[in-house]
Amino acid sequence: MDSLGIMRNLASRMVARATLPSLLIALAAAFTFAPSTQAAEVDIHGFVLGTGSLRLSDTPLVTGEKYNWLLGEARLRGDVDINSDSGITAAVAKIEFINDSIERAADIEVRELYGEYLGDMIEIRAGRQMMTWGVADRLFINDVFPKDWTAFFAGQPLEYLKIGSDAVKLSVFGNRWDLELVGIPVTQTDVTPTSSRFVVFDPGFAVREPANRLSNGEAAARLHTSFGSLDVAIYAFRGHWHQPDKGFDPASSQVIFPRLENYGLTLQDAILGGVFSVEGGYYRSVDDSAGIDPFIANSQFRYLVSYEREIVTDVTVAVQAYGEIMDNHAAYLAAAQPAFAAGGGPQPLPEHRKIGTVNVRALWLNQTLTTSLFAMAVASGGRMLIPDVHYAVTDEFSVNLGAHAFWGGPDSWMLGTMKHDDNVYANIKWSF
Amino acid sequence: MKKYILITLAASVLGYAAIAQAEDAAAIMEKAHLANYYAADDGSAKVRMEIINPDGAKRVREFTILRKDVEDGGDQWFFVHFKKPNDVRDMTFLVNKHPSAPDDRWLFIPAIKMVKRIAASDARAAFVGSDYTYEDISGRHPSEDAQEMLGEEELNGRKAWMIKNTPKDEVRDYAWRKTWVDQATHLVMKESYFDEDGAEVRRFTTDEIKQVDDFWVGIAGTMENLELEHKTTVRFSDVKLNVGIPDKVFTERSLKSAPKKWIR
Repeated sequence: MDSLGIMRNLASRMVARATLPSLLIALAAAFTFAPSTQAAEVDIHGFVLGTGSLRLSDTPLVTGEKYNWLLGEARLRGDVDINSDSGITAAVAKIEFINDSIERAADIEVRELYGEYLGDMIEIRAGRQMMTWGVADRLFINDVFPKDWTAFFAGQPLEYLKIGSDAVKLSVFGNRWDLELVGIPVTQTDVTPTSSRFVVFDPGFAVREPANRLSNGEAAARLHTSFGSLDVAIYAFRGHWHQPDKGFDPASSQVIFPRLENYGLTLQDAILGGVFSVEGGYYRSVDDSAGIDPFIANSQFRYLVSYEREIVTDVTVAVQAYGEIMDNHAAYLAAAQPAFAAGGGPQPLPEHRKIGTVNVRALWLNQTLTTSLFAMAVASGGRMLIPDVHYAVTDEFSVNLGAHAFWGGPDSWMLGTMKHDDNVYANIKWSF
Repeated sequence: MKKYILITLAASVLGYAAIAQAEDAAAIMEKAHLANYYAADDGSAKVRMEIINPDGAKRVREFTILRKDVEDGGDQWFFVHFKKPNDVRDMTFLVNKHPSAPDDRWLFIPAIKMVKRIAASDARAAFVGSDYTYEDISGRHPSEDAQEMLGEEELNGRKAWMIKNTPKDEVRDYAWRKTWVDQATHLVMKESYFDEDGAEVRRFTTDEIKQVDDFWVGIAGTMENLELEHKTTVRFSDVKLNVGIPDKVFTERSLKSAPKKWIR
C-alpha cells in the first residue's frame, strides 16, 4: 500500500473508532478551551511500548491456529499538555500510533483528547477522557465507564483495561464535598475477547450497539465527602449494560445492551494500619425490572468488602470479597428454563455469585523490581492466576513479564470460558 | 495522699540533676523537630532527588512538595506532585500526617485518573525507592525516642549539640542514633544511625542551609546506607515559606486536578 493509502486507511479507522459525535465534542472542546499559544506552556512526553503475548494451548482457534499470538504490537505514544499561563484553561492529547504485527496493519488510538476549564468552584472537561470510580481492584461496581477486557487478558499494562469516555464532565467543589456530573452522549460498550485470537464461547451473533440518539446517552454522578479520615462517596448512573452477555434480541438474533441504572456507595478508611473499603451498588435492569424476560439480565445488588495492608516492609496483601445477588431469581429460572432444558448451552446463573481475590505485591531492589501475584476465584468454579514481574531497568526503560492461567467452571464470569487461553506476556517500555 | 505527694517530691528533687540533662536534650530535640519540619505555617519547594547505587548509576526523582501545618508539632498536610521520572509524571501523593497515629495517604494514578487510598503502616519504608524513609521526609516525633545529651562538638565551624536518640519502641533498621543539632538554628546537621553492636549503618548530613525570610532551612542533604554503599542526595530549590496555601489544595480535588498555581 502506498503512503497515501496508509494515511487514508488510518484516517478512516480513527473516525470509525472515535465515532463522529465524539470527535466533534473533542474538537469543539479543544477550540473552546485551548489557550492561545502566545501565553501557554506546552509539555510533550510519551513512550514506546512493545507488547507480545502468546496463547499457550493446543486447543485450536476457530481458524485452526494453536499456540497463537494474542498480541504482537508496538505503540508510539505522544502526550501533549497545553496549559494557559493563567492556569484557567488547558488542553490534553494522548494519542497512540500502533503497529500491529499480527494483522500487519497500522492504527491510531486516541486514548484521551480533551479541553478543560479550571475555575475556582467548577471545572469542565470535555472530550475523550479517562475516569475511574469506586474502590475495587479489577472488579467494578460504581465504575460504569467502558473497559477493554481484551487488552487485560492479553497482558497489556493494566491501564489499558480502561478506555476513555467521550464525555462532558462538570465538577463542582464545595467546602467539604465535591460533585462530578458526567454526560456521555454515545454509549460505549466494553471490548471483550473474540474468537479470532482467543478460545471463547462465541456463537457469532451480530452485535447491535444502542442507536446514536440523545435519549440513548448516558449520565453518571458522584458526590464525595469525608468525615475525618473516612472517605464517603455516593453514585448514580443511567445508561446501558456494557457487557455482551446481558441482552439478546431473539427476533433479530442480535446481542443488545439493555438499559441500566445504578445507585451506589463507597466507604474507605485507614484501619489497623491498613485500608478498609466497602462498595455497594444496586443495578436496576430497566428493560426487565421484574426479571421475567429470559433474554435480558435481571437487576442485581453488587457488593465488595476489601482490606489491604503492608504486612512487612514493601510487601502488601490485598483481599477482596465481591458478590452479585440477582433479583427475582425464581422468575429468571422459570423464564429461562426452556433454554437450559435444551442442554449443551450455558448453565443457569446462581442467585448469589461470589468472587474472592487475593493480591500479594512485593517491592525489591530499592523498589525498582515489583513482583505480584493476583488470584481470583469464583465460588461456583472458575479460577484465574496472574503472576507479574516489573523491573525498571533505568528511569526511562522498563521490562514487564507475566502470565494468565485459567481453570474453568460452569458459571465463572468470563473465566470459565477462557480455560484454553492461558498465556504469557511481555511489555517493554521506553519513556521520554 | 499526703504521703504520696511527699514521696513524689523527694524523688523529683533527688532525681533532678539527672533529669535536667535529659530534659535539655529532649527540649533541644523538640525545638529541632519544629525547626526542621514545621518552619513557618506552610511552604513549598521543588525537590530533586538523586538515588545513587554503588556503581554510581543514578535514578532521578523530581517533585514539588507543598506543606501546611495544622498545628506546630502536630498534624500536617503534604502534597507531593511528581515531574520525573517520566513514567510517574503527574503521580501525586496526599498525606495527612498524624504524629501519634499512622498517616492517612492517598495516591493519584494519572494513567487511569484514579485516586487510591494507600496503607501506611510502616513509617520506616523507603520513600519512592530512595534511601530516605517516609519518616525522614515528614519527621519522627521526639516523644518516640528517649534522649541523652552526649556533649558539644564543632561541625564545619558551627557549634552543635550531640544527642543520643534511642527509640522507645524497637525500630527495624537501627538501634539508636546520634544527632548533631546546630546551636544557632536548631537544624539537624548530621545524624548517624547505629546498630546494636555500635556499628554505624546509616548517615544523614545536611550539605547546605539557607535563610528564607526569618527561617533557616536545610536545602541540600545526603542520606547514605553505609552497609549497601547506596546513597540519595536531595536538593531543594524555589523554597518559599508562609505563602498562604489554601486548605482546598490538600484535598481529593487537587489529586485529580493538580493546582497549577502551586506546583509550577
